Amino acid sequence: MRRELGIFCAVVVMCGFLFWSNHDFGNAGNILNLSRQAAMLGIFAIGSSFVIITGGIDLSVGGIIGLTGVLIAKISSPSIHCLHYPLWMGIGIAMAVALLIGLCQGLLISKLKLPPFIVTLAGMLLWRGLAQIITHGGTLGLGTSPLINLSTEGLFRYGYHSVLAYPVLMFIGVIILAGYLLHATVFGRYVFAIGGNRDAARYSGIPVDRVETLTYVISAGLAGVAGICYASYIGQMTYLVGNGYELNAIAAAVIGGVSLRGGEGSVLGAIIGSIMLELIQNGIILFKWVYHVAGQRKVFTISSNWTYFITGAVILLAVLIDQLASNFNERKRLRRQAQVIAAKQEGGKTAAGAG
Amino acid sequence: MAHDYILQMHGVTKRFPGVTALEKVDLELRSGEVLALMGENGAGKSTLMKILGGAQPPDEGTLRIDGNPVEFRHVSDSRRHGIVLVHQELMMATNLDVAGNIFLGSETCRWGMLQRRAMHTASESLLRRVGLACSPATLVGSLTPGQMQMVEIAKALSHKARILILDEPTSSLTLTESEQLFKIIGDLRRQGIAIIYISHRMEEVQRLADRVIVLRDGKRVGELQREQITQQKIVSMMVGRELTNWYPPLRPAAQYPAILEVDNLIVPGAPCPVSFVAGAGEILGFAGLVGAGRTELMQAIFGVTPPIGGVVTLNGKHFRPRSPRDAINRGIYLAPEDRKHHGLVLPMSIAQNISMPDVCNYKPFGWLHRRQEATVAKKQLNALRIKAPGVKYRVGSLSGGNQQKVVLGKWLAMQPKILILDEPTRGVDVGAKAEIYREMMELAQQGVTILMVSSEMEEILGMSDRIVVMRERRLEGILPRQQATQENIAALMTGAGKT
Amino acid sequence: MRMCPKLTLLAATLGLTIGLAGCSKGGNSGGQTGTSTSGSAAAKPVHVFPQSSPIKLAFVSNNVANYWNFAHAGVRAFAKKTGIRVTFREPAKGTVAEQNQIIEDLVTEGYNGIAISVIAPNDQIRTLDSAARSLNLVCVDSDAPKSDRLMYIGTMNYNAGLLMGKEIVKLLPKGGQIAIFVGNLAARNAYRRLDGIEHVIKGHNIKIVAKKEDNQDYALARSNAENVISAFPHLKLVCGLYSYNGALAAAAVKAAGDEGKIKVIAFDQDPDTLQDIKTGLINATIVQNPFMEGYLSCKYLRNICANGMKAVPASANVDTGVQIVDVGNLAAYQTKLAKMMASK
Repeated sequence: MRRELGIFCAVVVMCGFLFWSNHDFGNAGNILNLSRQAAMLGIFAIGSSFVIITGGIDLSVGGIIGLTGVLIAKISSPSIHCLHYPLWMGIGIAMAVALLIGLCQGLLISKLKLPPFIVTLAGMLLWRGLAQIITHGGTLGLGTSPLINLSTEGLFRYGYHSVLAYPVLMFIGVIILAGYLLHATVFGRYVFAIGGNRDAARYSGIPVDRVETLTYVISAGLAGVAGICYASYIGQMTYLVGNGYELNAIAAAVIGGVSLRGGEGSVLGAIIGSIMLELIQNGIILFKWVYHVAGQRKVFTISSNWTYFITGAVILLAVLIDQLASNFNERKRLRRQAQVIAAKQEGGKTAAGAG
Repeated sequence: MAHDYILQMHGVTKRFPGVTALEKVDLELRSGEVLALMGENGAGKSTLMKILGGAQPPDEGTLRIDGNPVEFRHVSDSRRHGIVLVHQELMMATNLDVAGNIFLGSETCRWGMLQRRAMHTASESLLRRVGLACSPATLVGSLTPGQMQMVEIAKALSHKARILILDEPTSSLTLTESEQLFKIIGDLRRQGIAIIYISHRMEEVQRLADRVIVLRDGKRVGELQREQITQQKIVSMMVGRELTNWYPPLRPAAQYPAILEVDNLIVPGAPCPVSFVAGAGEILGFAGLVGAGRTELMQAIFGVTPPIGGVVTLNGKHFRPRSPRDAINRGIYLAPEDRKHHGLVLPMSIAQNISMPDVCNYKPFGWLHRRQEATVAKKQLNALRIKAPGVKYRVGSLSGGNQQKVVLGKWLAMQPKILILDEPTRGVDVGAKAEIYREMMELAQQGVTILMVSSEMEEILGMSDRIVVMRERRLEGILPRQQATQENIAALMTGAGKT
Repeated sequence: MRMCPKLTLLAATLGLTIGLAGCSKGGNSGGQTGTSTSGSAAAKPVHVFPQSSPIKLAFVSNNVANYWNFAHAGVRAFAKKTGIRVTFREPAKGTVAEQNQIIEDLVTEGYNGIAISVIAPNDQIRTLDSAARSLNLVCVDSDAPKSDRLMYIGTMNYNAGLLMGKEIVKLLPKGGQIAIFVGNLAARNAYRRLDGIEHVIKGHNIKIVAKKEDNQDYALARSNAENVISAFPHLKLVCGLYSYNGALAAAAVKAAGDEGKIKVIAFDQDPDTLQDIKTGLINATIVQNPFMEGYLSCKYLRNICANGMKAVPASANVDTGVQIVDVGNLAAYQTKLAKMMASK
C-alpha cells in the first residue's frame, strides 16, 4: 500500500502544480478528457497487472487492441470494404476472438511451459499481423456506426460534456470486478500466491495451471474491451492502432507498484499508474510558466519531445524510491534482529557465569 | 616434523547463528596421501572444506601451507595455493565444450580473442592424464556424469592442483566409472598430489584411504590409520553419541492398525518399486543418506511428481496420486524439506499461508472470509506457540523454527490423516525443535500417521516407532524400534551391512 | 535475479515495437516534391522502343492504402483508353526491401517502363539507377531526385501548403491561434506542407501555438488534439497535415463542444474527412489527385517509350495539382470520385 500511497501523493502534487501553472488544467473539458484517456489505458493495464502479479508478462495486449478494433470495423462498419453486419455482432465476435487468444496463449504458457515472454511476443506480431491482413494495410473507417458515440457520450451531462463518458463507466466496472476478483476472492489469493512462490502454491494444492491460464484470458479480454473503446475513440482502424501499448500497460502497472518479480501489486496501483502516465502526456502540453524579462512577458512551455524522457524518468524514480524505502526497512529490521540476538547472548553469558 | 605436512589446519572454529558448525578442528595432510573425511550429514565436513576452499573464512584457527601461515579470504586465494574443490553437484557449463569448461574463468586469450587452438592442445594432454578418451571439442552436455567428473578433475589439474578435494565423487557414477576414478586417484597420488576424499561409502574408503578422520557434531572425534580402518570402527565413531533429552518419552511399543499401504510404487528415476505399510497413529521414520531417494518417495506419495506405477491405499481406498490436490483431498499432507522454496510464500502473511490449501472453504458467495481465515490462523498460532506479532505478519520475517511451525499449522488446520514431514527440524533452533517433537507426538496420539524423513540419527531414533532405511533410491529395510540401533541403521544406510 | 533476462527482452521488444511503427506510412500519401531538377535530364538514359512490339508498363506504389485505389483507377482508365496493359504492384509491408524486389523482378520480366512511388529516396538510388539502365523510370507521388529517374509526376507539397495557408487566412480574417497536427514532422512531405502554410500566413496575425506529432498512433493523434484544445482556450483553428489528423482533430473539437468555434482543415480525402465536411465539422480539406498521378504517369511513360523526352517539360516535373474541397463543392467532388472508381 505504501507504493500506491506514494504515487497517489505524486499525482496529487503534479495536479496541483499543473493547475498552478495553467488554470485551464482544471477545466471540465480537460479533466474529462484526462479521465477518459486514463480510463482506456487503465482497462488493459489492470488486465496486464493480473498476469504480472503471477510473475508472467503479456506483450500481446497492444496487438489484441488493434485486432479487436479492426474486427469490429470489418464486421460491423457501414463503410466501404466492410461487411455491414450489426454492431453487436462485431463486438461479440471481436470479444470472443480476444478471449480465445488469451485462452490459447494461457494454455501454451501454463500447460506446455513455454516462456510467457516468447509466447506473447509471438502473439504481439501474430495479432497485429492478422489485423494488417484484414485491413490490407489500409484504413477501415467506422463511418456512421453508432459505436462512434461510445467514447464521447455518457451519463450525467454537465454543460456540453458527459461527466461519466462510457469508457470511464466501463473502467469503473472493470475496477469493481477486477478489484473484487484480485483482492476479495480465492482466485485473487491464488494469483498472488503463484507470483509469490509458484512451487509453494503447487505444494499447497493450488491449481496453478488453471489460475495462470485464466490471468492471460483476463488480460486478453480486457485488452479487447480497451480495443472497443479505442475503436470508438479514433473512428478509423489501421493495424497500427495500439502499437506499443503493451509497454504502456507494463509501465502503468510498474509505476503503480506491481512488481515484475510477481506476487506484488494491486488494482489501485494500476489505476494510479495509468492516471500518472496520461497526466504526463497532458501535463507536458498544458504546462506553462509565465515570466517577464525586461518588462516583456514570456511563456515557457515544454516541447513534446520530452514525453519519452519524462515518462522513463518517472518509471525509474518510482521503482528506485520504492527499492530504497524497502532497503531502509530491511536494514532496520536486521539491526533490530541483531540487537535481540546480542541481548540473548548477553543473557546466556550471565547465566553461564552464575552457574 | 611440521614441514612434513603440505597442509595443517589447527583449531578451526566456525559459528553460524544458533549453531556451532565446527569446534576446534585439526586436520593435517601429507603430499601424496589420500585422506578420507567422514561423518554424518551435518557433522561439519562441508563447512570445513568450504573454509579450506576459501569460500568461508573461519572464526578462529590457523591454516598453514608447507608450514607457512596463510589466510584465505576468497576462492582465488586457495586456488593460488593449489587447492581445488570438486563439488558433489558438478558445476559445469553444459552448453560449452570440454576445453571451454576446463579453461572456464582462466581462458587463454590474445587481444581479447580466445585462443581455441592453444586451449584444445592443453586440454588434450590434461585429458590424457585423467584417462578420458574424448576430444576437447565434445560438448560437455553429451558426456556421462562419470566423464564430467573426469573433466572436473582435469580442470583441477589445469590449476596445478596440489590438494584435490573430492566431495562424494562417486555418488552419481556407475561401477565401471567409479573403478576408472579410483585408478586415476592412484595415479594422482603417485604424482604427489594430496587428496581429501569425502564419502559415505565404506567400501570405497576402506579401499582408497591412507587415513580416515571422523567428524561428529562439528568436532574431530577420531583418526584411523590405514591398517586400523574397519567399518565397525568408523560407524561407531560416526554415531557414538548419547541421545539428548529433548525428545518426548518414548511410547511403549504397540501394534498400530494399518491405514496407509504403499504398494509397489514406482517413483520416476528410481531403480525399483517401493512398498511399505504405515499404521494409524504411527510415527514412521525414514533414514538414509542425502540422495537416498526419501524426498522423492514422499513427493510421489503427495503427487508432486506423480508415481508412474503402483498403488497407494488409504483406509482401504486405492488410488495413484496425480497432483498435490489429489493427495490433499484424501487427507495426505506434506511439509516439504525446502520450506522456503516449496513450503511457504514468504512475502505473504501467516494467515494467508495457513489458509492457502484450504482457502476454498472460506468463501461465501465467492468472497474470501478474512475473519474466518484470521480465526483459524490465530488458533494455530496459539496451539503451536508461533512467536509472531500477529497473523498478518509476513512469514518471510519469521525465524526458521517459526516458519516451520507455520508450515505445520497450515496442515494441522485441515485435520491430517497422513502427515509427511520431510526434515521437520532442519534449520530450527533447539527450543522450537522440542516443541515440534511434542506436537508430533500429540498428533500421533490422536491417530494421525506421520511419515518423518530425517537425516539426523538422533531424531530418527528419538521419534520413530519403526524405521525405514533407504539407500540409493531403494528400500533397504524396515527396523522395528527394538532392533533399531545407531549401528544397525548406519550399516544399512551406507551399505556396510552387505558383504 | 529472475527479472534481469526479462528486462533485457523487454528492451528488445521496445526496439521491435518502434521498428513496427517505423515501417509504415500509415496510409497517408507521402510525397517528395521535386524542387525543380536541373536540365541534366539529357544525361540520363532514355530508352526508345520500336513501335512494332507492344510495350509493357508497371506502376509501383509505396504501400497498401486507400489512396492507391484512386491511382489504380487512373491506371485502369489509361489502359482502357490505349489498350496498353499496365501492371499495378503494391508492396504489402511497405518496406524498402520489398519494393526493391519488385523493381528487380519487373526488370527481369522485361518491362519497358516503371512509374514508382519511392519509399526511401536516398537509400534506393542504386536499385533505381540499375533499373533505369534497361527501362524508363519515372517517379510518382514520392520523388527520388538524385536517381536516374526521368521525371516526377505528383503533388507539389509546398504548393499544397500554400493552398492550405490561403484557406486558413480565408477562414480567419482577423487572425488568431492555430495548431498543427502531423504524424512525423521530420518527413519531407510534412515539413514542405508546413513551409507552405507558414509562408502564406505570415503577416496575417495568425500564430501557430502548437505542432504535435503522433507517429501514426491514432489514439495519440486524438488525445494530442484534446490536450491542445484544453491548453489553448483561445484556439481558433486546427489543421491536420496527415490524412487521419483532420478527422481525429475534428472528433476532439466535437467532444469538447467547440464545434464551430474551432475551425478544422484536413488533408486528403479519407471517407471520415468527407463525412465531416458534409456535417460542417471540417471546414475544408486539401485533396491530391491520385487518379491523375496514375493516369499521367502511364501517359508520360508511353510517350517516352515511343518518342523519348520530347513531350516532357524542361523542369522534368509535372504537378498533378491539389484542390480545396469544402461543403460547397463536396457533392461534385464525390461524384467525380465515384466516376473514377467506376471506370473499371
